[in-house]
Amino acid sequence: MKHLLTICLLTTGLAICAGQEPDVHLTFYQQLQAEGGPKWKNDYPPATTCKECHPTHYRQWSVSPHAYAQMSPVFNAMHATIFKKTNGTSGDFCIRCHTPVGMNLGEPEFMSNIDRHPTSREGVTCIVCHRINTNYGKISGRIALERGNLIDVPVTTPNEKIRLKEIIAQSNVSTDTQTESGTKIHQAATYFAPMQESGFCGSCHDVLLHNGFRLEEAFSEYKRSPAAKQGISCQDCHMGVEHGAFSGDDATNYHLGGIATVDGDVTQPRKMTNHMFPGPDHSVIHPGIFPHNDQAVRDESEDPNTAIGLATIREWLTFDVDAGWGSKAFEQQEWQRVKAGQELTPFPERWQTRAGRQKARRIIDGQLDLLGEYQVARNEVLRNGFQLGDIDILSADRKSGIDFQVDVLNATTGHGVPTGFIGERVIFLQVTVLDVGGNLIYASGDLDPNGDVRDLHSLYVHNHELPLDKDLFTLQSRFLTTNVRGNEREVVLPIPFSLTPLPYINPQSNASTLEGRPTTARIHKNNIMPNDHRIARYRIPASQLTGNGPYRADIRFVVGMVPINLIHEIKDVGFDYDMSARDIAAGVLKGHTVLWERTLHFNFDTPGETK
Amino acid sequence: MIQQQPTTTPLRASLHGTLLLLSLLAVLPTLVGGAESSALTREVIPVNPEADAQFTFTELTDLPGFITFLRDAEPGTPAQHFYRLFNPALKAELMRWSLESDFSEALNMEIVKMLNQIVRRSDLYDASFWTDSPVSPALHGRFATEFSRLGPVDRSRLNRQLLHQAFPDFVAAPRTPSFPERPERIHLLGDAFLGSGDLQKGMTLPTGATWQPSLFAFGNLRVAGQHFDSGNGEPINELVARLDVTLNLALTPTERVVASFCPLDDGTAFTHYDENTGTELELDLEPDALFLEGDFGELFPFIDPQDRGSMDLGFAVGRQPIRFQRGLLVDDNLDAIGIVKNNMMLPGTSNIRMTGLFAWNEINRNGGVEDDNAMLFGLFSAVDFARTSMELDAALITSDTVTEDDRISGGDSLHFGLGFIQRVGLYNTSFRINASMADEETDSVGKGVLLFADASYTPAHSVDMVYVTVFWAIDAYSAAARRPTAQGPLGPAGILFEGPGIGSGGSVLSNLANDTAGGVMGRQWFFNETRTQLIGELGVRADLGSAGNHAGGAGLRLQHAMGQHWILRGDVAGAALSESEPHFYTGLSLSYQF
Repeated sequence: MKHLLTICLLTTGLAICAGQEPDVHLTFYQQLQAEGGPKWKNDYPPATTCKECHPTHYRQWSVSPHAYAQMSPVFNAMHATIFKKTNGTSGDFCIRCHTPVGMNLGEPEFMSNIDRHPTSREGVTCIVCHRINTNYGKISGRIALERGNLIDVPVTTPNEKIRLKEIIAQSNVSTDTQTESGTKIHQAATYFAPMQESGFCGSCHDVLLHNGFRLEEAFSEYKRSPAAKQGISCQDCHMGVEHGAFSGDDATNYHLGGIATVDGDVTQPRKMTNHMFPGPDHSVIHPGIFPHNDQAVRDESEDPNTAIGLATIREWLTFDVDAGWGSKAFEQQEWQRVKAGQELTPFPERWQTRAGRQKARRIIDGQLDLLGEYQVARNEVLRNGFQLGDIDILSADRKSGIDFQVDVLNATTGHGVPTGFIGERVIFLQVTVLDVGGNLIYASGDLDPNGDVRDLHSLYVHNHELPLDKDLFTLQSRFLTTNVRGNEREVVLPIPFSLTPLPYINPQSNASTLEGRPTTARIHKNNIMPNDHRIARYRIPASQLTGNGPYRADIRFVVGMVPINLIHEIKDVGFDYDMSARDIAAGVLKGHTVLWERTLHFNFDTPGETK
Repeated sequence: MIQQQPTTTPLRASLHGTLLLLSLLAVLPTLVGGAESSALTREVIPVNPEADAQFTFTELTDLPGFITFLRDAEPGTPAQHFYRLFNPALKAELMRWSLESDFSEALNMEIVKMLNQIVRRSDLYDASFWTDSPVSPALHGRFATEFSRLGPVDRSRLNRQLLHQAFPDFVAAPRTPSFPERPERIHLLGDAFLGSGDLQKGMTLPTGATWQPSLFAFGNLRVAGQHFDSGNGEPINELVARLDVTLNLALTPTERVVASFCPLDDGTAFTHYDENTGTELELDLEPDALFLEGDFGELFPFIDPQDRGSMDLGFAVGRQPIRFQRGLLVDDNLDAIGIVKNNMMLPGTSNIRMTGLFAWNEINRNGGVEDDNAMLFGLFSAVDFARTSMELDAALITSDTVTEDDRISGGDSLHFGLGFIQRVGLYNTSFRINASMADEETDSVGKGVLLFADASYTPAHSVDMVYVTVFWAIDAYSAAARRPTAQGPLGPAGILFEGPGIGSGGSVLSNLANDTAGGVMGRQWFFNETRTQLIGELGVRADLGSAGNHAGGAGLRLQHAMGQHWILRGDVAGAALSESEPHFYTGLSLSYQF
């Protein structure tokens, strides 16, 4: 009994040692109001501070997935859902990568982005990468950020020959923290060689949960890839002239340009990397608040009379872009109403004046242009990854029907496609076969009314309102959780609630390395490895043909950001920016992109015309 | 994009509901969540910290009444002031609406969106407008003194309070958010486990690795009162305790040292109280597991500074729990060293993992026969193909035979396992074949084959799970290594076949895989956002040997999470046997998870 008491006391003692988490409430707004002062003084200077000398990099970054990482309402709700369903034990795991600054500041794991610190909202902002001076390895994003103002903390750079001291000496810039005047500049830039290596990206882009769940393996896949053997790095393909491809040598692979504009002068041209990093993700939020733009957004803590930003996020959310506010046509129409004595649009406080609306419209137009540039880059990187190979017609006649197969290729040598968050990537073939009258006689890869393919996760399939698409060709990997019995089941989010009513995220008590997974969940990978391909086969039996030929098959290779069923799964914790699940879904579907399209013609009477 | 419109297909639903199940369990209704629609909601769902201040569609129970009240409000009244802030386009639409017709879903959502925009406005309160409303003096005071200093979320809360007090018949009081805080964790050293705040920079080793050591303890304390009657001898009535504590010294996310203790049991006997023996302490402070695991590439980054090689070999060394083929082949704590290679690439696959293992010392064979002379050599693999995952495993055990009291134990044996896990239609399925081979059968090893298959299905409009498991054990299959508390290899078949995991009772249906066939059907219902669960199961076991002692049983388990640390669980299970007395188990346990 003595031992039992000792153990109980020990356990209790350990529990007490754990202490209370600091009670952090939504005080950042008030904190910021109290802080005041210029942005460079901030312990975590925002990207807008860097923009003064690095406008090109800022512009590229501002629309990038790195910049969107925390702004994403899908991410915010997904992370919060996992947090809620694991009883808070997932802690900051997901969000530590998405807003390293916010987590360093001790912000709550879940809150509206609107009330986060401005640098926290910037997600993977400049200082997240450019203050790393330690080779952390595969650390799943848990990097120790350097705290300090713009001037005192050196930035890290992959450029060995940076001439910062010379620039400071020759230009009208200031590294004096005692005065407010002059353009502020970091007083030191430290060469950090690992920044050029793939391992630098791998510190975030290889996500191993603390329980051994291998959530993302972009870097692990890379290490086994032909690209790694050839000495091609992540940066070579993702920071060069062409998104998702390496030209073969540094001289042509990268842009050449001045890295900084100091006191109006552009520095000597040299290799200049692109910081846009396009990928499958895209913005679904109000264009007034993303891309990041210091001309657009004023933080609520800033004085509206002196702030550069036009409006706060909350104010932007009331600006009706689709109604055309601020556009010439809309304002003319509004003026006609004034003249006719009709009731006017009750503009919110911020948008009462025509001049204010027109200024906002100019900003919106610029934002939409930048989003358009991103979309072009996104298509480029996706087309460099996913390609269609040969399409073989195996049979096409009245007796046996139509039978053909489509070859889908991984066109990269650096990793599988898709890679990264492969459990929630929507990549599929949409195939339709029509007769000459335009009647649909076969469809696979079509979408349910929510916008999901008809797989197990489609709510319409799950609820037996639509049949399963048995021919569906998809490259989405699947999360599986272990059930109390009945082995594993496919799920949208890998929370093993069948095993326990109180799921916790804990480290495993066994060596999960050896099993490659925790006992509670795993991922069934379904991506295509480098230099590999996958065949999709479609058979339309003769009985399905209408007899009204010739027939036409349209094949589309579609890539989307996330499945709509994920939106459904995470909706209960709420979405940022006053968006409904349907609003988010509409934005996601708008970003579904047809990368490649092919058409086949089947003319049974004239076999030569079957092609 | 081509979209299909749903059609109700009762025949299909019925087929799906009966094809797999063919049992009463399968057609039992989903008890909660059945009303959830397939269509995605248009309702704006505010993020939780602000949710208490925001309107939701479901709480506006008398929206037509509210709109009529606002629309017909006299000038100068609070209602008119409030309605003045509505968008004219919406107001025009509301003018067209008449009480006889229903709001469209889209119009409902527009109204809720409008209300939420207004509740955020800083000009909603104006003392002159709200004086004639039933707003309390205290609230007026807060608007006068506090409002301008508040952050936006707190302003919304105050506005919501204003509307509630002004229009109590239509606007409910702000709700209490139900988002959890992080539970307290036992953090002993370094950065808190998954906690926010600054992270330590750590230390760089001569190998180039950067370590950020942190020590964290977690585990579970479970106390149970249980009754087990095996039909032979006295029934067991006991109060029993089990404590599992794991210390996790994380050096990096890939390298860590783990020590696990079960101080209240010695692996077979648990600290307990029963009326015959009184209190018996089974204290054991020896670690059940103590191992280091990591990744060579991360431990020695200087070998491949450009990360272009394939040095990312995982490893684990020390005494550690090992489990393969879902525990059917190996499920034991072993002194072992293992090396693993992940992300191997072969055409047609998405992932290949290969694990080589050498284990020695205290290998529990055939459900608990400890063999100190045995050595285990294993090669375990997992492959992901597009439609299936395959697990192909082999374990060789070398050991001298020992004869004692006419009983022979030890001996060499070879064990194989092959499993396929996939979805077939709407069903999650797995098929496994495991075999054990030996020159001669001893107490430690039997010769036999175990065929094991299971399927599960999630009924429409729910997250419930219906499952069916079948098995066929030919001759005397034995696992390569299996810890005594896990008992026989059929434990994974169902809750009727598994031991309670605590105390001296066993399963109501035998989990030994000797000349037997059988299966289970069960359903797991979820309530209360999955925090309350009920499992009902039916099972049979046919004895294919000479004894012919067939059995059939039924069981229920209810488990419920309380707060963020406690789980209450109740079990009741019984089995009738053709050639012996029935088995019965009932238990109630309380667990503290930390």
